[in-house]
Amino acid sequence: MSEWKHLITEWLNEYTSLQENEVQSFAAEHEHNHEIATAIFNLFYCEDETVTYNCELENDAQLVQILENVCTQLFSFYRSKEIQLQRFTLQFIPTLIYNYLSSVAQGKKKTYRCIETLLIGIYNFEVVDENGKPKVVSFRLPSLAQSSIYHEPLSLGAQFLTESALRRWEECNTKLVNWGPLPQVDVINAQNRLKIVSALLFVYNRQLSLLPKLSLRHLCIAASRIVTHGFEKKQGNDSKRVPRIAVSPSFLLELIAGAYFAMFNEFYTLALQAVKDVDQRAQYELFPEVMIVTSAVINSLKNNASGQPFDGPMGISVALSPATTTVTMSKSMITNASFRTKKLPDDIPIQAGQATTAESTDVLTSITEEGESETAPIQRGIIARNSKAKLSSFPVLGKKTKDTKDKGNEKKVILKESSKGIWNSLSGGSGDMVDGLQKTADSSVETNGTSKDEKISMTSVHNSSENSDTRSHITPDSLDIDTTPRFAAMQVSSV
Amino acid sequence: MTSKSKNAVRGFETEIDKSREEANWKKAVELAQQLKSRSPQHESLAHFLIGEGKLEAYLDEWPPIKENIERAQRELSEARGYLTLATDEAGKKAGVALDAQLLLGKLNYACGSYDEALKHYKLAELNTLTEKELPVRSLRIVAESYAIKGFCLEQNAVPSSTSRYKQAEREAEMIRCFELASDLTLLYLQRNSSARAGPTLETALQRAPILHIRAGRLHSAIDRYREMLTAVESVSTQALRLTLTRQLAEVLLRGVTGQVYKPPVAVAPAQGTLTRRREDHVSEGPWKPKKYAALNQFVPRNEHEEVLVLVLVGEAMAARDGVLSQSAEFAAARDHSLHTALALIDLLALAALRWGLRPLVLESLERAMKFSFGCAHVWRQRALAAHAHAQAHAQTHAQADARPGGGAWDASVRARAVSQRARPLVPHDAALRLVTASTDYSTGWIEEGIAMAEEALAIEEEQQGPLLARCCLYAGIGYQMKAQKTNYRLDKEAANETSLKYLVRAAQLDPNDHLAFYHLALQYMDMGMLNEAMDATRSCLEARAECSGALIVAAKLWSCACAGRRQTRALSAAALARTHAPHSQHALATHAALQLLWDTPEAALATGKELLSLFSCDAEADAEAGGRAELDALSDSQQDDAQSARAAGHSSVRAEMAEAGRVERALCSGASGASGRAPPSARAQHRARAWLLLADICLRLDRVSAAAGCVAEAAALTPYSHLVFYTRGLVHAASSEWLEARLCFQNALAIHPTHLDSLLHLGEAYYRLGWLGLAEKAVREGAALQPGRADAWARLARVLHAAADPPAAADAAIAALALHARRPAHL
Repeated sequence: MSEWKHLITEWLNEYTSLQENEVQSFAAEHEHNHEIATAIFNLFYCEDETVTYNCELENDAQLVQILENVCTQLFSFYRSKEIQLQRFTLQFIPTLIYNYLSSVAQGKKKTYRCIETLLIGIYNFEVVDENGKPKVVSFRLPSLAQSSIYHEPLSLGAQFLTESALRRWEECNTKLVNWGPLPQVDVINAQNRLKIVSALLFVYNRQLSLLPKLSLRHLCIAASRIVTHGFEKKQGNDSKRVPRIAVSPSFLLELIAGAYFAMFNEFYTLALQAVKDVDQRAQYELFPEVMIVTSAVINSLKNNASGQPFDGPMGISVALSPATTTVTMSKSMITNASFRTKKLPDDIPIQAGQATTAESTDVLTSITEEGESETAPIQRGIIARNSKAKLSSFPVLGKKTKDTKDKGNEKKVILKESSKGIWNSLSGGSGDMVDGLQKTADSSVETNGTSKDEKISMTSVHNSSENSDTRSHITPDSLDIDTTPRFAAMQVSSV
Repeated sequence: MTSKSKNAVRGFETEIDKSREEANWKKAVELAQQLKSRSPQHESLAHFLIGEGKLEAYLDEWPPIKENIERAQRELSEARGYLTLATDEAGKKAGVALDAQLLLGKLNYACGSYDEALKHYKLAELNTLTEKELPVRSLRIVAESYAIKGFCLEQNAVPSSTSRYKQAEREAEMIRCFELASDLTLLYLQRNSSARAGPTLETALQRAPILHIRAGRLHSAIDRYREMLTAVESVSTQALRLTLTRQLAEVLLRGVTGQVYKPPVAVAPAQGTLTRRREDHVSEGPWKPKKYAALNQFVPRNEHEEVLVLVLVGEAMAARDGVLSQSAEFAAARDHSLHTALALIDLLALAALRWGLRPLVLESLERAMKFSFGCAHVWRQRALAAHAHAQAHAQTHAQADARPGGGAWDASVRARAVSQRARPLVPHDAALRLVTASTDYSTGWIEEGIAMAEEALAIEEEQQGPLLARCCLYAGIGYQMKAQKTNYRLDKEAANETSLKYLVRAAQLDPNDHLAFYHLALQYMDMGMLNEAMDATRSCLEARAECSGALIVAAKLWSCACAGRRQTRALSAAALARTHAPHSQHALATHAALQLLWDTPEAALATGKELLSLFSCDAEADAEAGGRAELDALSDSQQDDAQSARAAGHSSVRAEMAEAGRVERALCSGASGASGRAPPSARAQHRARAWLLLADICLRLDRVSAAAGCVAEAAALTPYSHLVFYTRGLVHAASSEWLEARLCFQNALAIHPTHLDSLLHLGEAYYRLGWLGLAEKAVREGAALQPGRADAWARLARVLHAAADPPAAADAAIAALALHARRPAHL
């Protein structure tokens, strides 16, 4: 105990004796000075322990004196122009916050005054920029409707072009997601205390990757202590009850953000414990948003195929997609991608005669087009011919359905993907008529589940008319394929 | 590479090429054997093709991993023979030697002889290949060669004596191999949309950035990920891109904050029309994959934007691949797709909620519903998100929306419906039930909320969980609200009883929970047990010294007659509550009321004005906050207000007022039907209440005209509030305009039929008008409504006395006297 006191005293004296021009080099060597940092962390924790063990009064007063000096020095570090010195102060923020909040909860005014002053100072420093204007951290909210360097809206499928996505796109550059502006404060009271400490923690979190690892460790410890303070199982009735520390959702969310970072930067166990503690507390306080995030983090650790902290650096490891490891994938699997909204052709070439066919689809049970080879009879309309009466009442998913059937065996369906040639022959030049191909779900599966060979799938294939864009032909599944070897070669199993 | 001879076997060759491109090796070998027998001059080519076919066919079945090495050594000798044949002079002439060498490298890798493999690559001069357009099959061979070379370099034990420089060089070579391999793979997959990458190529793709991270070069790793992700998607890269998207988002979340981040640079759209297929995609070289380069792209500028766009894209891709088939044969695929989607949804929750982007999370969870049948985690998350949404709504719009058709109502209904489904999936989760209960309470569905809380209680009792005390507390709060809401005496008493039982139990179970003590104090106060209430308040303040609600309760208790009116204590408690929560309406109002009694009226007036300014200074912010509330990050001011409102006992008031609010709303929408005026916002209601409080203070100061002005202000804000009518009635009563006062009180009662104060004052008005029968009826109703109110009985006594019924009047007066002590002075 005495050695770190000694260290701190030396450290205090060293800084006060510094000349103007020496500050820079002092700062440079200071940032990663673990010894002094450890000593200061010790000071804060010892401070904490005096509560439980009730040191003698004299000792207490001495501690408070040191604490005051340290806080003054830390604040002068923070106000100095040296980034390293600012960062040095910053690393203590979680511990300071813990110390402060627990002192407040216990009503120990004497010890927390100096920390409070330091925190107010840092807070007021951080909520304004260099020009004294309120600082705002903001970013644009990306929308899937706008293409980005990582995607194109259409390739994700129209289901993601929701109204809200489009609205977000519209507002992308005007309505930003903001942190701040926050008001400067003169005094901390019960109402603004948690806002101030969340803001401080936010500032701290923005520097996480530059801070010494030691600080991450203490962040986790502080987080755990803050949320479990006063929750310990009582060992005996004689010990005095320790008041709990008040928390707010946004404060807890900041704690989790920091702990998540620490989890993948060497402090897995501590950080996981911190997140679990926060989860427990969030349940206790009934903060649904915090519960979402904590259970998301815990679940992602439990459930994830890869991305575990011990999986490799930063928890990133090679995760092979199953499509490449399992060679065969059943063809009749239905995925979300199997459903396609009907896309109108980019250009509508209205041709005489076609309009009537389009209209008559609902009326006629079948239209035979001039097909070639084995795919001659093409049926359109809602009622699939082979499915007898049962299927007629079966709800179909698209606007138009079309069953392609093998001539010889009506119960088999052949569906090719990316087989442009066949498509062209099927559509017979009138590509835009074949704008939605859908095979109705197997009535047997749905209704009685008996005749397995009556397999018809529930896939709607999007065919975007003449401009045979192969990408839009993707059907993740083609079912019950009974084809000649030549076609078998062309099939792509679902991915 | 594979030379195309101008021979009669041309047709053959196209066939062969086709089978090779489609990886139909059986057919390729067959065709090659025919080729060999038909045209002996193509022997080298045929050997190569047979060797290749056999090798690839084998590898399709047994991927080149460690466990398969022995098998490979056994079974690949034939392929090795053919390929070695193809590397002779004739092979070189036929132009297949290079490919054969590359394939031999692969073969040796499969056999576990890494040095051998490297030797072959050296022979093929792999590292000096020029970057030029390659046929599809060759692309794959070269990509695989680079990948395998990388693996071999990685696998090969480095002698420890090697110099550092050498090691670094070796590592650089390894990474270069992987990077080239990944570029070529992506290009290959873009060109051949039906092909699959295979484990070798896919591992190589993911390996490069991991090596960078391991070596501490975070930025190189991120750049590598970006390289790969900006490449245009093709059918076979979908799964791969999903993984990479997630990984990049994870790396950014776990390793990059603030200043460390460097934003990506967008690929400039191609000038002119060099690219034929689509202008949206550009390629930087013959060995580089095509990249997204649409106009008006979203290019992230900071880490938050990049993480969000990645997670959103990834989540959309994962949702697209979600397997819907429920039959057992797809269970594995379904599980996998669900897990991938979950990983991204979880990341989204982590990245978005911190910024208050709740709608984003809610949307993604709603999408996930489609393919997460029976998945407890998703359902629980969705239920929680729905509750968070509902509660946030309830806070921003106060009770304004809490009616059928309102936004908050909708949100609550939805939240309730979702948790109804989610509950069976998490049979041991008490917290979810408590969250449901608290949403129910705030929407005014008290019975349902109580049912939820009791269900949670049963769960926690069974497993002795940590939330047991809280379950009791919420059940207690429910009954407390029920007691306040109901007007039927037996029900009320029963509910009070149950509430007390639960609250006492909660406080016993967790003597450190200030909220339990606070509600217990309220309950005791309601039931007239003031000493117990004081004890509970003390315990509450011990657990949390700054709980302003408890301080207010303490102030009220001290102001009660039976406490001997400890004025100073009451005043200082209220003042303390005000210092702790200077922006809390409740604290200010209480303080003002007490100041009015025992301090100077001016001080009270000043407090009242401060209260008013609290709401008017934010008037401009109000308009902005309305639409933006959802996106406003870290805005927990509303949260705090609600917290303190709950702590200040507003929840109980709300239960009773909800009904009145609904009528008010109906009137409002009826009146505004033509004018199209929106119902008053929460802030307007707060301001109106502040005006009414001021009016009250003015009345007590005998400044009737000022009070009338205050009421007019309030009426402009909330014209149909029963409180406005009530206060206006008071103003009229103060100037002895009893007819007008009567009308006002009647109006107030029409909106809120059980508003006790209006009822009592109506009785007073009747009494003044000399209509004793009506007066007695009104006052009796009031006394029946709340038998604990001393002033009701006092009024009744007066009315009965005037009606010349002295015995009854005496009884009422006795009741009033007995109850008098229990009433806080300023209420």
